Amino acid sequence: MGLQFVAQNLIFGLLTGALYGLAAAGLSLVFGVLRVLNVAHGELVMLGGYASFWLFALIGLDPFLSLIVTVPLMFAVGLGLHQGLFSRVQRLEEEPRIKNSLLIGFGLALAFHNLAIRLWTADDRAINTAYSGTVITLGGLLFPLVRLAGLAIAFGAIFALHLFLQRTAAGQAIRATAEDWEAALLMGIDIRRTYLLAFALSSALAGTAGTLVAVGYSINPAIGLEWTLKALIVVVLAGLGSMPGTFFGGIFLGLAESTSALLIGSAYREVVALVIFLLVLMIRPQGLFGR
Amino acid sequence: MLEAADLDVFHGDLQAVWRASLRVEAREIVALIGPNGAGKSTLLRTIAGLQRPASGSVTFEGHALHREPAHRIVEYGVALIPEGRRLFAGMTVQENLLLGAYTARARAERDRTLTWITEIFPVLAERHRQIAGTLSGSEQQMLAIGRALMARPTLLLLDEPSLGLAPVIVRRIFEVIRRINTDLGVSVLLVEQNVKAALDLAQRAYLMDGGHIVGHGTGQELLHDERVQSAYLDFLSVS
Repeated sequence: MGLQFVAQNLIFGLLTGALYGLAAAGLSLVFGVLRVLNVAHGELVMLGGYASFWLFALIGLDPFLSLIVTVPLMFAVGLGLHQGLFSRVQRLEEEPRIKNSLLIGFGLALAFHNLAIRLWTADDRAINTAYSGTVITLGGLLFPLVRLAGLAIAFGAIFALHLFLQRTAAGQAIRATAEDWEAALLMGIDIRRTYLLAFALSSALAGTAGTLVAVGYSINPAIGLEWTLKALIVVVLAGLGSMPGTFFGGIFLGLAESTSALLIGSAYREVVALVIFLLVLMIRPQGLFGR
Repeated sequence: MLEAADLDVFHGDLQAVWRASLRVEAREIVALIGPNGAGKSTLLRTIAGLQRPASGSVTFEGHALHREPAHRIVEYGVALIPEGRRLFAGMTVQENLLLGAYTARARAERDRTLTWITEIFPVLAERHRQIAGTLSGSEQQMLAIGRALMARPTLLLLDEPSLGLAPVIVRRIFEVIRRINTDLGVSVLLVEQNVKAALDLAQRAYLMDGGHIVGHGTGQELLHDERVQSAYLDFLSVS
């Protein structure tokens, strides 16, 4: 096993991990602010991917350019899902809220999954642009152009989200609500709007990740569960509260997966993620929902 | 200015407040005293909109507060410093203060208010970049008061500001409350275990027990009330 081979593997891990980080940021936002685990988050990734895929297939819109459409579209989907479904459990006590939101999430995941099969078949789809095969070679290492662009966009999105949360009044309101929603109310923050905004942002982030998956890899109606799981593992790994932390958690998972593929074979890729998940849960006795 | 009338408030199936009525006039300091579990905090939370009364009304300068969401009540000029302070512990002192001025009415005055607050509490200016959760208990209480003042309230609701603080700090906090009242013209409704200090400070006071308002008078009258004397002998020796 040459050093170059190892390095190449790590690069692929990094490029995949950036997308894990991006998907996880959305999940983390909803988890941290609404105290709700959206198990349909991966299906939002899937929908974002299909949106860009069809924009490319039907009207030839460049996938990266299509983000201008996909991101607002998925933001709107998030608004609708929260207003129509998740907002109804928000006022409940912690236990019924978590249970009911899980039910809503599972229901949505099933519905989106089957709807996608019905509308678009179960086939794998990928966006194949003229530049899709382009590979940049640096010091003997290969960087697929579309995945490299995906890394840059994922990083940019996380950075923008971080600045939004730190610097703007709406971002401060989101952070305050995440810390103590009752105290946030006492500041004059309309927390229902904060919840709505956080959910819609989360959906937009999932959609962005979906586009990048469709252009860098491939999508099909069944990818949702895998993405929810990966995002959840990253959130558990990185904890709540820091978006850059979540992003780097995603990269860590990507690197761990590619390293394990190298050491014990790619058949055990998925196992590694779950082992990390179990390890983190074992050393986090306060559980998933604790602070 | 503030008029609560015949409030009934429940915690689940338990009634915590029974037909409670009270009044706070402009520029007045009113104390609300009584044993633990008397329903004092619940009454304050109801005025601030964190809890809904089952019946009764709260009116503040023409606004029916019992029908308004909590975030709008702040906009009308009523700020609550809740029990346990409820700071945004993971955010900086500065961020906490600025969040206090979240409402449109407060945001316009933000810089002026901030200057005034850092004059009373210089420590908040020195520590503006520190994470609020790492402040000492007394600094946290100062931040809680400062954050509430950032909203430019005309009525300040305080829930046990002296809880867990050293007597020397408590004296300072009470001095600040007096200054807020005299210098800024802010009315104050104060829930306090430190009965003597509260009654000395307040022009009027209400005595609450078992969810009912059982007594009412000037601070000095209640200080010499038999029920207060017998119930709070322990507290009278403090400070």
